[in-house]
Amino acid sequence: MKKSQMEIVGLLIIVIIISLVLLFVLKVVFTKKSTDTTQSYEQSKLVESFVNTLFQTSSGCTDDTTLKDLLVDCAKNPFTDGTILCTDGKKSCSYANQTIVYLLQQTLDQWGFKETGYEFVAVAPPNQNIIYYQSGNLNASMGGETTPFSLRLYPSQQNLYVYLCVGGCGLE
Amino acid sequence: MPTIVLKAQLKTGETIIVMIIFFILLAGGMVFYAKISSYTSKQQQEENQDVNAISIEQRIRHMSEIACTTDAVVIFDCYDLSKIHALEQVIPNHNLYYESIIFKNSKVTITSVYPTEDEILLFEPGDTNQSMSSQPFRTPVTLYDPVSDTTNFGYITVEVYS
Repeated sequence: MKKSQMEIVGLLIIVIIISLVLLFVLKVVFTKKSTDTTQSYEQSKLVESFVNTLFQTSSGCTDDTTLKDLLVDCAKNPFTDGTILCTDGKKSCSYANQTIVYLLQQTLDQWGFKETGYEFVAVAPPNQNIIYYQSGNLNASMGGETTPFSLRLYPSQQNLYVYLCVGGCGLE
Repeated sequence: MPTIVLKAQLKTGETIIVMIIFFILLAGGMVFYAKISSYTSKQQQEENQDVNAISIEQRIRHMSEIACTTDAVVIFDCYDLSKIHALEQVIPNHNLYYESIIFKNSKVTITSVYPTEDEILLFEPGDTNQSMSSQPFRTPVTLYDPVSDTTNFGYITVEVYS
């Protein structure tokens, strides 16, 4: 090999090494997951606060019922649409469904979670989804994690499980 | 022209070109470094604002001024709307305390979504025009209205200014 060819090969090697280093730096800097800890804290806190607040909220169905009361009644009587009759003529299942969807649309959808996608599910025994709402494109990612919030359906020993999964968990 | 002079000129030309390329690369590297460092510092700033927003939210969470209580027992994640309205009136008279200890450089809004809709601007720092606001940090909370005896679904929004 001539001297000039050797020099060209040397130059090429240097260019390749510099490009690789540059690519590595770009990848590390720009694809770094921003605020891992704060983001995961925000998300877990959001889910926990959302569901707990939801349970305590006055339903508006009757003067003295909360959304938790409507969900429990609906879970006990899923096939009759619940037993509590609201002032607007709706029964507990329909009323709870409508109110929860409204709340999700007014909060999580407005806060940008529509892009990430999320699912809200209330599962009554034996394994029936009494409320299911999903927002955003969940097919893109199913990377969410969720822990159920349980409500005891007294006097039985069964529970109603409520899930709110940001990122999609395939709960349908 | 003698060959030796020509060769020397060529060598000088080569050295000049190498120097030019070197300085171009150096300038490119410096620009790249500046871009990267400004990007990372911006990211760091955003992260700090997020952490500040969380800590302010935690402080609000434990404010005895607005917590719901039943027989002197504090109800977690619940705020009394009448106490919030009272605090709204009190803050301007004790601005220094609330600005330096509790809310720092942040805007705090409490919003009721259901059954009734309402928005209360609890605190806003003096001059925010030139400051950069962070991503708003929102937490759902229960808002108890003692007048109508209803529990509203609401949320607290904390926006930290840099």
